[in-house]
Amino acid sequence: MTPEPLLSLRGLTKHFGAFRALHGIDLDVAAGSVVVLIGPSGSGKSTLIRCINGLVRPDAGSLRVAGRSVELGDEGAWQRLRTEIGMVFQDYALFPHLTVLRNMTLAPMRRLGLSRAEAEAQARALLARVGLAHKAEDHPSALSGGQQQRVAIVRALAMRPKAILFDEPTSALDPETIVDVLDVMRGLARDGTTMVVVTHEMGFAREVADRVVFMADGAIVEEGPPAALFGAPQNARTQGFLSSLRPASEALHA
Amino acid sequence: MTLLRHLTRTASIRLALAATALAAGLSAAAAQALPPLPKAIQAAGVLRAGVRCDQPPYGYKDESGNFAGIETDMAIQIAAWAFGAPDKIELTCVTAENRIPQLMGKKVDILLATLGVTPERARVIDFSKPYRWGGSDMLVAKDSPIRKLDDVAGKTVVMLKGSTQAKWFEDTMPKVETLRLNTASDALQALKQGRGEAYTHDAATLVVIAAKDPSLRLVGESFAVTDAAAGLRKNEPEWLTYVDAALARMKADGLYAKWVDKWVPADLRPFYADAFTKPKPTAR
Amino acid sequence: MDFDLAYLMAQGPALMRGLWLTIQVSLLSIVLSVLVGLLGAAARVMEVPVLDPAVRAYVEFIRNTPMLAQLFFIFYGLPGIGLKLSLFWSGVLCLTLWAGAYQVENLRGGLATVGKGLREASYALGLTPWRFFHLVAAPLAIRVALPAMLNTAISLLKNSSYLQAIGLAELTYVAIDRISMDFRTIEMFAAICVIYLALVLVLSFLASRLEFRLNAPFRH
Repeated sequence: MTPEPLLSLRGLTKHFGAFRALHGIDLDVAAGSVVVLIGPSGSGKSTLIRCINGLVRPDAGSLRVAGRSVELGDEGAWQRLRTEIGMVFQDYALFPHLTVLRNMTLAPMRRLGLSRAEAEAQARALLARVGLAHKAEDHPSALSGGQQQRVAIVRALAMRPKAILFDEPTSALDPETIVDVLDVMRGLARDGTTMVVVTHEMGFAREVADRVVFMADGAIVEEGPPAALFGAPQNARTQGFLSSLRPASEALHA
Repeated sequence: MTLLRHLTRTASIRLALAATALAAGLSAAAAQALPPLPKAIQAAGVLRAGVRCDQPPYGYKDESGNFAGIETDMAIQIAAWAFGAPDKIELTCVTAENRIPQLMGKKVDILLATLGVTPERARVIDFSKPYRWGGSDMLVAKDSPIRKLDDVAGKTVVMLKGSTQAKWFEDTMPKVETLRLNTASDALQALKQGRGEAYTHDAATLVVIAAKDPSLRLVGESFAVTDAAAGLRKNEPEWLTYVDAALARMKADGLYAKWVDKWVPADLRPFYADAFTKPKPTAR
Repeated sequence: MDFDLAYLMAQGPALMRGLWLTIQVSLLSIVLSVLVGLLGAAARVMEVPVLDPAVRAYVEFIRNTPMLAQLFFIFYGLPGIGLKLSLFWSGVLCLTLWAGAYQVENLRGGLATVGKGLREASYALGLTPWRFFHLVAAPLAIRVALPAMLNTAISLLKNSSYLQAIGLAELTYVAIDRISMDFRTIEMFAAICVIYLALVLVLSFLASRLEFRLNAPFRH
C-alpha cells in the first residue's frame, strides 16, 4: 500500500506565448523524499518548480498537494499553498533593507500569526542550526553569498513548510561556500524534509536524491533512483546530457 | 537754470490764467489751457495708465476684451490732450492689491483705478484732487438675515486684498472674519458659493452686480466713504499739476456726465452722476 | 523707501500665523502626495487594468496644465458639481494632486529598480501583493527615489504660495495683504523669501536624515 504522494502533478502544461515551456508533466513526490530535477538549460526545470507554488501559473493540468486539489485560477488558493511550500532561489532574494532576523520573522508573523517573540525565538533557533546565530542583527549586504543562501533556506523553514523547492540554490555561489549550503541541504534531507531540487550538482543528486528526474524540451524524459539513472541511463538524450557533464562532475565529486 | 525754467513755467501758467480772465465767460476756452506736459511723460510719447479691468462701470473689459469704462475714458482723454491723439495710450490692468506697487515700480505713470484717498496710501503716493467720491456697501444673498452693517459680526465677509474695505474692517470691525481675494469676480464667486455671508466692495461696483443678479441684494448701509482720485508717484509735481488741470477740465467740459451716460444703464445713472457731481455724504 | 526693520518686527505675529498655515498645509500635502505617488506608481508598475491608464492620464493632466488653473478649478469649479471644500482642504487637495503626479513618476522609477526576484521571494513566502508592496517594494523604491521626491516636496512647499489666490491666509497671502495695505514691498518680500529659504533648508535636512537611515542597511 502506497500512501498518497505529498505532491502530485498530472498533465501540467505551460505556454509562454507560442513557446511551449512544459507539456504533459506527470510527477509525484512522496512525503519525506528528495526529488532532483536535472537537464540542460531551457529544459523547463525552473518553470516546473515555479508551477508547483504558482509563481508561474500552469495553463492546464492538475496539481494536488497533501490530498487537496489546487484550483489553477484561484489566486487565494495559491497564496495559501505558498505558505505551505517554501522556496529557495538562485540569487537568495533576501530583503536587503531588513535584518536577517526580520527577513525570517516577516512572513511567520504575517501569515502564521506568530507573535514577535515566538517568531524571533524560532528564527534564532534556526539560525543557530546553520551556524549563523551571530548574524541575526546584520543586514544581508554584510553576509557572504553562502551565508545569505543559508539564511534564505532557514527563512523558508521558518514557515514550517510541508515541502521546499530549490531553484539552483548553489549556482550563484563561490565554490568554497557551495559546500556549506549543500551541507545544510543534506541535513534537511536527513531530517526527512520533502524537497524538490533543481541543480547542476550531480554529486549532491547522486548522494541525497531518492529520485532523479531528467527533463528536456519541457517534458520529463527519464526518471529513476540515482544509481539507475546515473549508472545506466536508458534514453539517448539522458546519456548525452550526462556524458557532457561527466568530466567536470567526476573531477569535483568522484 | 532750474529756477529760471521754473519761473518761465510759472509765468506761462500766469499768462494762461490771464488769458482766461480776458476771455471772460468762455469757460470752455479756459479749460483748454493745460499746463505743460512734464518732460519725462513727453519723452515717453505715450501715456501709461493703470486702470481696473473688473470694475464696471469705472474700468473693465467689454465682451470683446477691450478696455472700457469711465476711468478708462478719463485716461484716454488725458492722452488725447497730452499728445493730441487718443491712441497715444498704454493701458494696464491693475488690481486693488497690485495697483500701488505697479505705480511705484514705474510700470504705469498714473492710476485711474477706483483709488480711494487714504492716509496710508498718501504716505507712499500722491493723490490728484478727488474727481468723485465712493462709498462702500455689502452684497448678500437675497434671503440673507444681514440687514445692516453690524449684522456681519461673527460672520465671514469676502473682500479684495488691499481694498478700502479691507482696511476699514481691520480698523473698525476687527472681530469680523475676512476672506480676502484678488479680483472682484473671485469675490463674487466666493459669495455665491457661500464661502462668506457678505461681499463688501465699492457701492458703485456692487450696484451693477445687484442690478444684474436677482439672487443677490445690497445691504444698503453706506460706510467707508472716501474720495477717489488719480494716483501719482511722489515728487512729480509738474505731472500732478497737469493731471489736476486735466481733471478740472473734464468736469468743466461736462465729460463726466457724458461718460456716465455712455457706460451706465439708464436706471443706475443717478447714482453715478451723484458721485461725480454732488458733495461727499457723511457715514461711518 | 528705506528698509524698515521695526515695521517688519511689528508684522511678526501676522507672519508667524501665515507661516504656521504654510507649514500645516505643506506637511499634510507632502504626506498625502507621497501616498498618492505610491498607490499610483504601484498601479502603473503592476499594470492594473483601468487604474494604470487612469493614473497615466492623471499624471499627464497635472503635469501639462498650470497649477493655478487646477487650484481655481478645485476652489471655484468643484462646488458646481456639489463638492465644496473649505479653503484649507481646497489647498491641501490641490497641492496633493499636483505633487502626487510627480511622486507617481518619481516612485515609478524607484519601483523599477526593485527586481522580480524579491517579488517572487515575497510571494513564495505567502505574502500578498499588497504586503510585498508596502513591506518590501515601497521602502526600497523610496530609498532610490528620495532625491527626486525631495525636489517635488520642495516645489510643493514653494507652490503653497499659490494658495494666496483663493484667500488662504498662508505666508505669501499675509505678505501680499500687508503690502497692499502698508506698501512695504521690499521688507515683506525679503522676509518671506528668507522664511521660505529656511523652510526648504529644514526640509532638506530632514530628507538627508531619512536618506541616511534608509541607506544604513546598504553601507558595508
